[in-house]
Amino acid sequence: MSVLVAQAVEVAYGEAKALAGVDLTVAPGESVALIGRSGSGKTTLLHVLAGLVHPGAGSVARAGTVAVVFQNANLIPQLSTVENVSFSAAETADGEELLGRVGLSGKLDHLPSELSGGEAQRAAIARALAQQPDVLLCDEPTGHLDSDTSARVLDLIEALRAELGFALVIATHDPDVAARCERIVEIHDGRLTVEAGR
Amino acid sequence: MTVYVFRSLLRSPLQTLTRVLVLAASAALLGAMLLFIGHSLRTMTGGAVRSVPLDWQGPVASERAAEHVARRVGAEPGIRAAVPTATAPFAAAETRGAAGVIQAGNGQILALPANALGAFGTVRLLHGSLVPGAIVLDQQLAATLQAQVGDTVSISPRRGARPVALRVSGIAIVGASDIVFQPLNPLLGPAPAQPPSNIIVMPLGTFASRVAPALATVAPSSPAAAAVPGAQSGVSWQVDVQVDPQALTGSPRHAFDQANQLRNRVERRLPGQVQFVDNLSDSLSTSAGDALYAEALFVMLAVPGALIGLGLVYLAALGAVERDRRALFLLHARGASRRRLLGLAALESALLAAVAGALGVVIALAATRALVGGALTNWILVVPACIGLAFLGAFAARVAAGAVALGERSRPGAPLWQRLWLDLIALAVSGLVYWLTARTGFSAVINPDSNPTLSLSIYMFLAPAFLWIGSTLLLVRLRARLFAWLAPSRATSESGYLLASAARRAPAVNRGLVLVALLLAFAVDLEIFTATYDQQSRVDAQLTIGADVVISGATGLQHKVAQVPGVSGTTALDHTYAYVGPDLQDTFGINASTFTRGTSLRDSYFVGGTAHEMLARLRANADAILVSKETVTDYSLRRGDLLKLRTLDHRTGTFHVVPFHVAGIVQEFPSAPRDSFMVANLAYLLHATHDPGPNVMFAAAAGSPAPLAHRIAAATARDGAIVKNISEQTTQTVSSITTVDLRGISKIESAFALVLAAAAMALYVSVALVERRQELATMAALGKSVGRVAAFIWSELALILAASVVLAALLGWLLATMLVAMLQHAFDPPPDHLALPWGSFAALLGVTLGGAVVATLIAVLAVKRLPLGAVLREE
Repeated sequence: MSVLVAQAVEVAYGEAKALAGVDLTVAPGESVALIGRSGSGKTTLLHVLAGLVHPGAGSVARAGTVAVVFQNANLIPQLSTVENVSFSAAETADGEELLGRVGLSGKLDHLPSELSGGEAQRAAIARALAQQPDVLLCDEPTGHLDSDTSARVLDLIEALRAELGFALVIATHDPDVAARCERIVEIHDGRLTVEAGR
Repeated sequence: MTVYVFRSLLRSPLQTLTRVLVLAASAALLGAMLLFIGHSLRTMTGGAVRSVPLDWQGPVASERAAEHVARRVGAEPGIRAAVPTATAPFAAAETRGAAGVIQAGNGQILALPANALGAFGTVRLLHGSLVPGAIVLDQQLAATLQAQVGDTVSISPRRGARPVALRVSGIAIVGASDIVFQPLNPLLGPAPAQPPSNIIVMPLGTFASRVAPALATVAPSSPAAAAVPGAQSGVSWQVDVQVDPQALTGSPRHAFDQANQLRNRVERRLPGQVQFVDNLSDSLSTSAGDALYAEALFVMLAVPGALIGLGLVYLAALGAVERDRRALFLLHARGASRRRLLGLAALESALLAAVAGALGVVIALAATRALVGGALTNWILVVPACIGLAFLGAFAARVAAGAVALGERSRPGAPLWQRLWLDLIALAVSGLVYWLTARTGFSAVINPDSNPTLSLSIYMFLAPAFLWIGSTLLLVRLRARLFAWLAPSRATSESGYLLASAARRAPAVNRGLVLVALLLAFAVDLEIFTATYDQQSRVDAQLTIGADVVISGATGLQHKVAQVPGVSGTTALDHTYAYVGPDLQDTFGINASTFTRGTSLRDSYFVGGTAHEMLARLRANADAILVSKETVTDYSLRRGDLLKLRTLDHRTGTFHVVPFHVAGIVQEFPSAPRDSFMVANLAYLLHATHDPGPNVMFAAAAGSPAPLAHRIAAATARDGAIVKNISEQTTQTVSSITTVDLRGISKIESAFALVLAAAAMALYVSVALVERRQELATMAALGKSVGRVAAFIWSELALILAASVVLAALLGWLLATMLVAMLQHAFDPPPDHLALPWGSFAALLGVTLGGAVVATLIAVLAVKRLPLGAVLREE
């Protein structure tokens, strides 16, 4: 049983095809790295998987809750860290506890503008986890972070996945990040070209 | 650079169109106000000119001099008519008929060329004509002498002189006799005199040959020329001049200058031959003072509206802030200097201003033409004003929005003005200036002793200006406190998130709140002021004319008038004159039992009692009299004191002493003049003056006064009655600011305020959608429904609207109170209370709520159509 199944997905922006017949299946608890150059279609595929973009052709089946961590964290600027987490949290989720787990228990009432890039991204992860997802989609979660912070954020995601058991699809152009995943899928000009297991 | 700006504007056509439309609306308001005020000032000039029965009266030494000067003056450009005339007293007049000899007392003769009757509006022929060798009798004298056309009247020029017998060739009504027979002293200026009770009009030639030889000539420069009004002792030869109204253009001030220049030029061309008593400049000078009040109204009513409109332009400019941010960063990155960026902003503003300004002029012309019709001659001035305002608005908004785009914001923490408490200081200054202005009696119009020119006191604008500024700043301060109090410290519920979000979006909510609250306050201020103004215009008109319909110039018409359909009640009164010591005052004899059937009285007209009580006092004593406050003060009078008046005895033409008893103080009275006057019982006064009967009648209309006045005029046409109605009076009153028909202004401004209030809502939402698109997309990506996401927009709108309505009501009322108080000299009488137009308020609230609902629907649709994928990629 898969938590995500994309079949022959096509997305076009005007004349340009962003995705051209993509098939992808994600098993429960699996971690998949989606690699490719800028403009290759990584983010579009993530958005299609998350339901934010409707494919022009093909289909996407989701067997559970899907949460997204965006490249820019995208916290609601006028809600505090804990409010951002609780705003979209599942009923049983504990925002404060989740923020404690991502190391932000001291910044519960800080506004996003008062957080560093790494802290904002960790808050975004906590917010995604508060939705108690079966699949976590991360779009270049470390794209704007320095290497140390990136490593800490990735460690955190790995640890949480291990603990909570959600599947992870992470879009990145960084081979080191991809190397942490169980499966690597490369996308080029909107098509999956290489798929490899670790 | 121009191409770049063009492309930049065309890339966001909807936002560019919004900016153009909002700019055009602001420019249109200013343009419409300029056009309207220009039109109103010209109307005031026209009214002031029309209200003068005789423009200039120049005393000269002889008939020959009069004819010579009249010929020379009449040839001057700008002069419509110059006529040699004369006025002279006569001692008595009598007729012999079947009933025997009937005599009338003394009176005045007006002599003028037989063909000059049409040149002035002072003599209105009822029957016959003015022909050489004959006379025309004033209607009242004809009634006294029971004379008709064809009868012969013997006139005694002075006591002891041989009577002159002349045939009656016509009956007329001589109007403005207080001006026609005033003593002429050019150094003293106009001094309207007590109108004579008996008037004879005769051709100048007949007068010169038959009457003048029996009388001495009053030399133009002799002290007799400045004698007590009504005490003329000899012939006053003069040249009466009517200026061509076409020569007097523009505002009363401008027309006043033109009239003075014209008179100076004419006098300079005839050195030593004539100097004029200038009734025209006197009227225009009064009108110029009123015009200043009209201009003050313009500044106080239109300028805040235009400024708030420009605030919306800023809001509209913020709609393009995302595009600006990218464009500016790109230009910055390519090395564009700040100066170049400003140049681009200026060029863009100029392009927008050209289109919006032209559109504004067209809207202004169309709106004003629809309201007032006719030619709007000052539109050439309006074009640069509209384009200039549009440019300034567009440029300021562009630079401010550019600063937002570049993130050039003030440092965190309370802004400097809050730390310095400038809001409260501005309010305190406003209160202080208001108090100081109140102490000096709100003298908005200054007339320095040493300088004959009028000017507006700029101090009077400071109080409302500081009130606007202080209120705006206080609004921002209070918004922060109120929202902080409403919002939870840590939101956990849906409403908590909404409140927390609104509380922390200070700059956006502030600008929305300030604009909507100030727009609504502007509208409330305008509606209250206009309603109060309209209320007072009606009161003023009724006070000036006396009643819905006023019939004068004939006696014994009460029964006839009461029978006219549409008359709901009548009352008759007698208007005469009496001396209190040396002061000649208008005196009204009324029937206290029927007076309120024909007109209405307000308690504010009296001091020391209500209108009802004062009428009861008159009824209680036959010789009771109400006098003015000045009379009470000047003669140390108290209620119950004996007051001996010298009243005019119409039987003998002389003044004789009649005792009255003071019953109270009257300040205003229907048809009474603005200075001192008295009110007594009709029966007692008629008995004392031997007046044949009440000479004025007030009629209350059951419906519209104008058609009723026409019916009454038709019914009394043969009696020679003069019929006036309150509707025409409202448009004719030239002695006060009510000449400016504020309904036109209020229609323009109300429409403007309503459109902008609704536009403010729509703009607020569209700017919020632009500014918050990523945030809204994130919420949608987190699984929130469209309704819950849109709630973040409409809940802010609802909070802004609720706070704005409360604040607008308070600020609008305060501003209207201040405005009415500061322009109290324009109101005569001052209003007892402000008029509150609930219907207009409901319409305002309805339109604003409608705008909010439409804006919310826009928000829901926009959130629904938000391209999540594209928006979430944006950095």
